[in-house]
Amino acid sequence: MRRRELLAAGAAALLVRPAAATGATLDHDGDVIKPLIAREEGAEFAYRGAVPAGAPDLGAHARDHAAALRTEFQALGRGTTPITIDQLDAPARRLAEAGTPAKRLAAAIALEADLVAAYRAAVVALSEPGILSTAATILASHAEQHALLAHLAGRDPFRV
Amino acid sequence: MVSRRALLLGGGATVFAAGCGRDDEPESPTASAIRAMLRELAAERALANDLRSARGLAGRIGDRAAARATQLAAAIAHLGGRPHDAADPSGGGPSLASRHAREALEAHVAALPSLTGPLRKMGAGLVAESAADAGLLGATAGDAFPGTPA
Repeated sequence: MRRRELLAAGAAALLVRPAAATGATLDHDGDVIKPLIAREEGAEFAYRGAVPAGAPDLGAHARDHAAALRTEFQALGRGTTPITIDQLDAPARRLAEAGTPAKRLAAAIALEADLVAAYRAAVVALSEPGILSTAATILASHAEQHALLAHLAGRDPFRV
Repeated sequence: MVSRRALLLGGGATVFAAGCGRDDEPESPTASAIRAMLRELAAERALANDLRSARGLAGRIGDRAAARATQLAAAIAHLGGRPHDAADPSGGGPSLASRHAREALEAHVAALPSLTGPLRKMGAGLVAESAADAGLLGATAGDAFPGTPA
């Protein structure tokens, strides 16, 4: 099954969930993933033209992550407007403003480390299995990206 | 003579007993957590076994897999489970490390809904660690959602 089909199935499962399960727990899960959507949009902005050499297209990954989370968020009956360039979080802004390849690489490592921490906290807080699974796979993506970027920079890839 | 009320009660008891069969019992949260962690443990043991003789970065990844296996075995035992119930790695070798790293990551992601409290926190750490290892082994690079349960 393709990732898109998995997401669609997860969103459909949320829509047909019994009314008893659509209360505070799902509201809480929505509150957890809402800021992550903004973080991914910020990362997509920051990686435009700034993906370190040798790394995969991290901007495209961030866009895919934001889309997946937005699908989950909309399945909860909620919506959020995309962020603007003025609303970038601090680590994304540092990457967007980095002026040299070395600074871009260092800023990208810092951004990925910060996202790993954010998703680790989210995974502990989430309840709905489909949303949890999506967040966990995005956590895995950022942990992988952090290790690969640190390895590219000649740093210890296991130190977050 | 059996009264109408007794017949109804007897019938109700029969239906109730039929609904209480072993097959219909939901798995307890503890049993579910143990089962999920046994799968994680088996996957990490397989990866550690693949890289037992490796050096350098691959050797470090093997050591990390072994440490995660030890952590999982302790958590399983703490819940009253038996770590030895995890499937033993058979064969193995460096050529299988990439596949086993991917399977370990999938097991960690799949286990999360069964884990709560401190175990969920441990599970989140296992996902992050094993994703880093899988990425460095070339098992998942290029996928925006590594560890998606198969």
